Amino acid sequence: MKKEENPLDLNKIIHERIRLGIMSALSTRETMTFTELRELLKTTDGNLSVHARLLEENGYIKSEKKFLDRKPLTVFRITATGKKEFMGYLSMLKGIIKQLT
Amino acid sequence: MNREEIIKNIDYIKGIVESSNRYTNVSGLAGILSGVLALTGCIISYYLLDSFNLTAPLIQSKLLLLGILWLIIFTGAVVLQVVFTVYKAHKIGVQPWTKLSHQIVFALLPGLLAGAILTLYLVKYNQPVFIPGVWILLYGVGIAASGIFSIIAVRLLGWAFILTSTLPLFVYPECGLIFMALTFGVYHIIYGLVVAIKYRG
Repeated sequence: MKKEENPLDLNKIIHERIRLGIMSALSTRETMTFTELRELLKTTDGNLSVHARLLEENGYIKSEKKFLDRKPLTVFRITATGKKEFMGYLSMLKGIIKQLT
Repeated sequence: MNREEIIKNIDYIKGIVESSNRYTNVSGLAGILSGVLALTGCIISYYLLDSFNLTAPLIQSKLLLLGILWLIIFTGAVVLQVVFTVYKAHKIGVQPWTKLSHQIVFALLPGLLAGAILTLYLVKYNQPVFIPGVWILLYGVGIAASGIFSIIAVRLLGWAFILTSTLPLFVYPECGLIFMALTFGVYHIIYGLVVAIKYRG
């Protein structure tokens, strides 16, 4: 019998608007700076920091602090785990929608 | 979670993926230096011809010399662009060559190639006076097209070239060199300054 997808099993680390946005963006662009992400997701510094930290703590993304013209610059990069989990999240969404139709 | 919610989620992902699909690692410094290079080219051309006008009788004897000069300038500008883009990407820590840079190059090529073909055509049929207008127009076409995959400043630069090209083509063909200096020189420098300030470098 086909496995039933339970919406409650959706990866909670990804299943939040800003974090989903970060994962979607980084899965296309691989690397993005803090400012680029903030502008893309139309969010605030604080909000982006909180969600990015959570993703980083779970090993989905990596951040690197650098200096460009003596100003700090943060670059985010998606990890192999992050890519796998994001793809898993997408197939789960697909599974749920199939059950509903 | 219901159907509508899932669809909303998927649309959101789609939107992010689409809008993150822009190459922002552009080098303003390369733009400024290319502009300076182009201005230098215009000045040298002016001294070679002693005129802003590229009509046939004037430039026939210097065609080869001018061709070599502008080929060097074009190559120099391409090298500047590549070197500074790679350098900036390296400094920030992002990949310089991505799927996007690939698309940018391929969007640029048809315009440049069309420009090269039309240049040969104009030389063959002895109408060099239109070369500046054709260059400005088709370079603009290439830049405007590649700007689809990049920041708005690139698209605007392309459109500025396209619109300006109508002047040397229709109104002031005798001032070809001046329009070359204005577009390839001044427009590039303004674009470069804007990018350097807004995108840090």
